[in-house]
Amino acid sequence: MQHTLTRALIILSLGSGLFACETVKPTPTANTASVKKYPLDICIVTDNALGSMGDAIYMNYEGQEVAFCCKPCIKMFNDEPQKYLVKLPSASQ
Amino acid sequence: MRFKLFVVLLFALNPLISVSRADVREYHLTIAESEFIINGRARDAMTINGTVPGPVLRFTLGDEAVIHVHNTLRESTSLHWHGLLVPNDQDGVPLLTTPPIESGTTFTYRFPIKQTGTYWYHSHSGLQEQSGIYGAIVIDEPAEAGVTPIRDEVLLLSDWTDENPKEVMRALMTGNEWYAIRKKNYPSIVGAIEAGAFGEYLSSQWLRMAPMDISDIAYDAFLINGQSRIAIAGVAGERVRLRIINGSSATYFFVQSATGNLEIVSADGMPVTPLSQSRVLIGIAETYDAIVTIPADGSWEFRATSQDGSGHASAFIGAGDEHLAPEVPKASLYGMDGMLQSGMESHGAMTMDHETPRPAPPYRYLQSPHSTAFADVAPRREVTLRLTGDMERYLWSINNLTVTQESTIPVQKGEVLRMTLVNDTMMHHPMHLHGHFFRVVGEQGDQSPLKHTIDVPPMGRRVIEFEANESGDWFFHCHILYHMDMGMSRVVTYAPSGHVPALEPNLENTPVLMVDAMFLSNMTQGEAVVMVGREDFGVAWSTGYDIGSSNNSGMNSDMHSDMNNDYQVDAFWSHYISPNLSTTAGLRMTNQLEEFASGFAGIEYRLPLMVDLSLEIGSEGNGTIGLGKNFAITDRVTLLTSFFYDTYSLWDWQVGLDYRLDKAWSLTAMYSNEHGFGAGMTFRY
Ligand SMILES: [Cu+2]
Repeated sequence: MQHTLTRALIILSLGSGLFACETVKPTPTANTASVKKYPLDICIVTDNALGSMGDAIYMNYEGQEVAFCCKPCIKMFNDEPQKYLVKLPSASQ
Repeated sequence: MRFKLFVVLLFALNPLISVSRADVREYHLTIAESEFIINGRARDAMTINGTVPGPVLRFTLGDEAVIHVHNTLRESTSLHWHGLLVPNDQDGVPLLTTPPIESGTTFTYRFPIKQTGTYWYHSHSGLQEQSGIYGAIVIDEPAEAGVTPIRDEVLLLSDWTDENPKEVMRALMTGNEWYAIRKKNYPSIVGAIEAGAFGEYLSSQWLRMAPMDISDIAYDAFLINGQSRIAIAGVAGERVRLRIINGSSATYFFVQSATGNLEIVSADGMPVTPLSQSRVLIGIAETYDAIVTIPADGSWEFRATSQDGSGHASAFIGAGDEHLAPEVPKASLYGMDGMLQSGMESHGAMTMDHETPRPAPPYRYLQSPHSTAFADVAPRREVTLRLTGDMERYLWSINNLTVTQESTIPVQKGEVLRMTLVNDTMMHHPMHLHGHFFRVVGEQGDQSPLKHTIDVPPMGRRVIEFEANESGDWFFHCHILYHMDMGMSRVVTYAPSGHVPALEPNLENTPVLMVDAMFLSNMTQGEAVVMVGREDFGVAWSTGYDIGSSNNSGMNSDMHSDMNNDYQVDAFWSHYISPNLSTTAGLRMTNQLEEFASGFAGIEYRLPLMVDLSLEIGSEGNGTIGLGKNFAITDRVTLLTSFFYDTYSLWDWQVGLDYRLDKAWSLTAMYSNEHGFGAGMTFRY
């Protein structure tokens, strides 16, 4: 009994490990200290909720992390980054 | 630049008519359950005066409409006059504005006709609209001496299913994939490779995107005026005003005419500056008037192709040699760009030209001939409404709340309310406001067009604004019938705060039964579940039946020596949190543990690449970790794999192949380390 409980705990911790790994962003931003975190919960291009089209996509743009609801938005962002960066609260600083 | 809608209406109104006594235009409409012949075959339908669609109701501006509706159904019904500005109590939304018309009774609608144009009417009760309760409304200007109006033809587009719409709803709520498979819109590995889009497919699996789905349902037919192919008169050189109405329950259409470009002169009944378009995407519940010129002798096809590419309906204009309208290319199942094109265009990102093969709705080109700007003095207010939903669980809402959870959008009489509609889902939603026309705010400035229904494309946005010049409660909802009935609606109310509008119950919390059961030669496993909103209450079972083996008296036998006759029956409750996460708890009866009955609790989590992870812990101190993945090899063939590690039975695994035959059945072969090889059938309900 004791031993099965231990095993169960091992399984659970293993599983939650997997779970935890998974919640890490699928395309993580380069892990430099200078990257400013993306402050919004909506796509910088479309304003759609992040996660509404599968997992959100994160990208480092010149030291600022930005997030997209889906891939086509990356292209739109790259075409005119300044148009979208003004949505960031820090843009006024 | 002040403007009010009624100014335009009065502007169009002949003063002589307005002062004279209104002509009473009276109709009798009998609603019945009866057979109706569609494409040569009798189908069970709900008819109006014996037909689908019902009769065209024609009025002249200034008329008094008197419409007697006789309900011979076994249930209550209603009629809503879509796009007409009528007194609130005549709007026909049962309970909210108008009493339901009970079985065996007659209700008389009575309202003044204050506008011209092309509109339609339909039942606003349950799913009756899908069964055939809809028809066209045409309102002319009073005849002017010496002016012969151009001949018009009503083309009422609709979708038809031979299934009972309630069964369609249940299939959607239980997540049956059959409709997508039947329409060949089900993404698969082979399909992706053939389309040269395997990378896209993998990436969408990695990012856990739900399969793209242009429409939810596989229809048996698409109709114009009740048939898939109709003929209308026409001679060379003649100009005909086509009054195109999308009276579908869940289908957008691309419309195009072999005669040449459609000259759009009106949208949602309101005049627009003439606009020439070769192909137009018409959303559910929208109307367009388009003038075509018959170029020569012959029979010219006007074609309405369903947006999902699963079929079309045609009206042949004129007689003689057939001239077909061009085919509309199907949307790619894999590349997201096509799917999201209209969404992206709604952000003004791409300047697409008119002639793209799958155009977005033409809103950006629609221009009102007059200014539609509101008075500067009217107070302005803005709200953002997010269109939200979950395709997999078939939950639809606004701001993540159904109308049951949050019923109203309050307005103040006299203000201008601007609504920003942000679509957070992967489907189009045609949003309709009762009792008002709104301006579609865009590139046309003061001459923004007026509409009553607007498509909000997947991941797209629209900005609309209207003047609150009414009183009472007005419904605002997605016009996909099945989305509306899941609670994707609100009541725009002029009442003081705290007002609770009366609504017929919708289907969001209706319990539905789902069964998924595999019967193989060596084993059976499956589940029977009652689904209520986000909750599942069910029974799951799994057992082998190796009757031939000798020492297997079940519970007393050694745990691992005879795996063949292990059985497990779970009674469980699951709570659906998101497509990626649900929790589960229940009672387990099995011969695999020391105790016959034990409790368990766990979670199910979807990993990237759509791998299902399950973790469970039992009251016996046991634990299970499971990984499962279904590989869609082709649309019908699925490779089933699952691996379990259990503190009692240690490793278990299964690998199988499933060939889908129809909505309910598939052929299944499976190898399991416990029960060996077996073959049989899987049943879904
Ligand atoms: Cu919808």
